[in-house]
Amino acid sequence: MKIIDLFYEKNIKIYQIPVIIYKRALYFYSKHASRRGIIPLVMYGFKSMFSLFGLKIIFCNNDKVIQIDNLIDKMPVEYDSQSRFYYHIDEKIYFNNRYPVIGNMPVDYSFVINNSLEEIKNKIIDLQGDKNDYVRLLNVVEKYIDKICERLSSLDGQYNNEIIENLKSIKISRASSLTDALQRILLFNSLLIQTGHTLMGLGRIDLLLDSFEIKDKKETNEILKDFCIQLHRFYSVKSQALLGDTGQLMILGGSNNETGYFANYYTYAFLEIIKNLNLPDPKLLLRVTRDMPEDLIEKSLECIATGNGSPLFSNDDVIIPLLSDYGFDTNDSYNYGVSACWEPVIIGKSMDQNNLVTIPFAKIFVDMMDDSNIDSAETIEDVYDIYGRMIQDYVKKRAGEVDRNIWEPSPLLSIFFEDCIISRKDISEGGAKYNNYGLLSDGLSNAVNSLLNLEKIVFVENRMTIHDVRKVLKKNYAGKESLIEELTSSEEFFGRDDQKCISLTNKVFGYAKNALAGQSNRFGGGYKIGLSSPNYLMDGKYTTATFDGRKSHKPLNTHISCDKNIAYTELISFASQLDYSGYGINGNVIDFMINPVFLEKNFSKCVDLVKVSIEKGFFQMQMNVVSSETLIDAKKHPENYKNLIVRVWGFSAFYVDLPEKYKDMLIERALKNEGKAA
Amino acid sequence: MTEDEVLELLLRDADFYKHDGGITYSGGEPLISLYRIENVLKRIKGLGISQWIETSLFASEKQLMYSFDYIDNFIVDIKNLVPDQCIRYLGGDVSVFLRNFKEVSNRYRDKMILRIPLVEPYTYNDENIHALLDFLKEYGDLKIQIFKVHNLAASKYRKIGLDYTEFDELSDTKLKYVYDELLKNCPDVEIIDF
Repeated sequence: MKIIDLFYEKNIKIYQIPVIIYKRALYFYSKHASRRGIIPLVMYGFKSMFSLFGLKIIFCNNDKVIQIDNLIDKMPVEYDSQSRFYYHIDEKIYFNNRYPVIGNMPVDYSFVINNSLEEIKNKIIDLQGDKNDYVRLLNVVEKYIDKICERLSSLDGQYNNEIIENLKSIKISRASSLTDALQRILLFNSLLIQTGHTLMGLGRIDLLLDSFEIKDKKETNEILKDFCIQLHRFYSVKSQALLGDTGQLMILGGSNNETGYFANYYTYAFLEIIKNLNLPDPKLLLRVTRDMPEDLIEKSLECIATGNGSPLFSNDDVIIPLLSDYGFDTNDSYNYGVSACWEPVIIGKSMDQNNLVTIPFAKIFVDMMDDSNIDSAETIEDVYDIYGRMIQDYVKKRAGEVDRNIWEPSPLLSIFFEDCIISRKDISEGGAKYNNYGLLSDGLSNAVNSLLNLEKIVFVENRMTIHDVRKVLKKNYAGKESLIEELTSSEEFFGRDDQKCISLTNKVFGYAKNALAGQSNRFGGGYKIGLSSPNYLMDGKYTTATFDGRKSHKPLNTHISCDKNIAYTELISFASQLDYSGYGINGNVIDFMINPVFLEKNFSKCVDLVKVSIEKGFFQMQMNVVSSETLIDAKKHPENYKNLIVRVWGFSAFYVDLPEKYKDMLIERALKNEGKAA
Repeated sequence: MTEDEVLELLLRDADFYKHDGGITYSGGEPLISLYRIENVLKRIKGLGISQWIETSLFASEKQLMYSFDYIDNFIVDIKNLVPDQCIRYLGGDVSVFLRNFKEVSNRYRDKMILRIPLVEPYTYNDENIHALLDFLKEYGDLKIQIFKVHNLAASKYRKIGLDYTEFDELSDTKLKYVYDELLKNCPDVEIIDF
C-alpha cells in the first residue's frame, strides 16, 4: 500500500504524525522502561518536536483534573461568529491519555440541562464532601466558561450576548431555553472530545428538549439547524476509522413504558433538518414500534430517500424485552440508546464498551478447513461440532483479552453517571451501574453459505471430499470458475426465508452466544455479541477463500444482508426469525441497497414495508439509497458529486472521501441489488 | 414443486400482503398453466389475498376464462401488434391477443395495467409503434407503463449454462418519443425502470 493511501484511508493529517509516533513510543517505553528513566526524556524530546509542528500537547498527569486545567489554560477562544452557539475543538492540541479512553456512547446531557453546575456541585458535596475530583473538575469547567465569556465580551458578534448569557447560566441555573440547553450539550461535547473521548453521541435529543416550548417554529428550526451545523464542525478530527465515522448520533422517538410511543415536535424537526442539510453527520437513529405514528415512518423515509443513510431504524418491540432478559432493569431498558453505530446501551447508566473486538466467523471457517482435524468429519454434524468448538474457543479467548483492558480515568465523563458519583468510582473503574463488554462479528453470511455448500457437495452428493475442498480454497478457486458459479447460485443461502438456512444461522450464532454464558469481566459485567461490524472490508482482506464462491481477500458480506438480489421481504423475514435472545443483543442490522427510483415510485409501499417489518420483528435496519449508475459515474467524475452521501457501516460519508475499495464495494452491492451483476 | 410447497412459499410473505399487496403470477405465460395450481388459487382467494397476473394474453379462450374466477387484476404486456412480426418474433397470433384483450378489458377496464416493453427491432420499429399507438387510442383511459428491455437476464442465462446474446438497449430519445406520442391520447402513461 502506498504511504499516501495509508494516510488517506486512516484519515491522518501531517501534523498528527508526531502524535502517532509519540503514542507508539510511549506504549513501547511504558512496557519496557522504568518511568523514572527514559520516559521523561522521551517526553521532553517529543514536546520539542510537537512545538515545531505547532502542536501543543497536554501531557498525562496522575491528576486528571490538573491535566484538564492545563488544557483549559491552553485552549484558545475561537468560534463561528455566525452561530448562536459557542463551539470549539482545537485540532492542534493533543490531550494525552495513557490508556484507551472510554467513549463510543451517548451521553446523558439531561444532567447538565436540568441542573446548574452549582446544583451539581452541591449534590456531589452532599454525597462525598467538598474535597473531591468532581467538584474540582466543575470548578475548572466554570473557569473555562469564564474564559470564553471574557473573550467574547470583547468581540463583536451577532449572537455574542446570547452566547455569554447562556454560558453563564450553565453555572447558576438549569437550562431555561432551547438555545441554553443546546449550548450546554455543545460545551460538554467539545470538552469530552477535546480530552480524547471519541464517538460521543447526543443521546435521545428529542426527549432532552421536550420541556422547551416551541414559540416560533421557524426560529426553532433555525436554532436546531444551527446546532446540527455546529456539531458537524471539526468533522475530520472527530472522524475515527474513516471520514464520517464521528459517532455523533441523535436518537429520536421510542417506546415509553407508561405512555406509549414518544415523539414530539423535535422528532419531526430533526428529520426534516437532516433531510435538507445534505451532510453525512450528525446522523439519526429512530426507535420504532408497531404503535408509532405512520406519518413518522413517512417522514423518516423521506429523509432516507435523500441518500444520507439516516435514520437507522431500531425496533423497540424486539430490543427492549431482550435488554430486560439480558439483565438490564426494565425501566432502564426503555431508555436505551446505542453506541456510535447501533449497539444498544443504557444512556447515563452503561459504561458498556461495545466495539472491542470482532468475531470473524468466515476466518474461523477458513481456519477450520486448514486444520487436518476436519478430515475426520464423517457427517456435516461433525463439521458443526468442530466449527462450534473453534468459535467458542475464539470467543472466550477474545473476551478474556478485552477484559485485560485498562481504561483511562475520566472524571469528566463520570460526572454524567449518577452511579459513579454515588459509588465514588470513576467510570473507568466500573463505577457505572452497568459495565458490560460488547463484541461484534462479521462473515457469518459467508460462513453459513460455506457450510450449506459443504453439506450439499461433500456429504449429500459426495462429489468432493473435505480434502478436495481444502485444495480448491488453497488455490483460490484457480481453474474452478464453474464451481464458483455453482456455489454462488445455490438455492440455500444466508438470507433465504427457509427453515434450514435460518436454523443453521441460529446454530452458528448460538455457538458464539453460548461461549459468553457465565463470562464476566473484572467489573462484574457480562458480554454480548452482535451480527454487524465495521470490519467487513478489513477482515475480508485477511480472510482467504471461503466455500461460498468468495475468493481470497475479497470483502465479506455486510451485516445482515444478502448479495443474491432477493426480495427485501425475504431478507426481513429471515432476519426477523434469527434468535437474538440471551447474549445476541449487541446490534443486528439488516442492510439494504435501494435504488432511489424504486423508492420514489413505491414510496407508500415502502412505508407499508417498514410498518409490517416492525411487526415481523427485525432488530435494526438501515438503507443505502443510491443507484449503481450514480456510484460508477461518481467514481469516474468525483468533481461532479462532491455532495453525494452514502451509508458506509453505521455512519454516512461523502462518497468522494471514501477509499477506492469502499467505493468499489458499494458499486458491486448496488449492481447486485439492481440485478446487473452476477 | 407440489401445490402445497407453492402455497407454503407464497404464504411466507403473507404479512406483507395486507397493505395493498398480493401475489402476481408471471412467466413465461402464466395463463397456460394456471389450472395446475387450482388449489393454491382457491386457498389464496379464500384468505382474501389479492391475486394478479402479468400476461401477454397468448393463451386459449378457455385458459383465459379459467383465470377470471381467481384473478383480481391483469397486467397485460403488449409487445407486437403487426401480424407477421408477431409470428416471426414471438410465435404469436395477434388475433388471439386482440380477442383476449377484449375479454379482459370488458371485465377489468377500470383497473387493468398495460405494459409495453421496448426493444429494437422486436417491439420498437416504425410499423409496430404505429400499430400500438393506433390500438391504444381506444384505451386512453387505461394506465400504461412503458420501459426499455434490459440485459438483466444475462447473468441468469449464464448461471444455467445457456448462451446469451446481449443487445443494445433502446436509447432514451426513442423511449421519450414513444412516451410523448402516447401522452397525446393516454394521460396515465409512465416510464418505469426495472
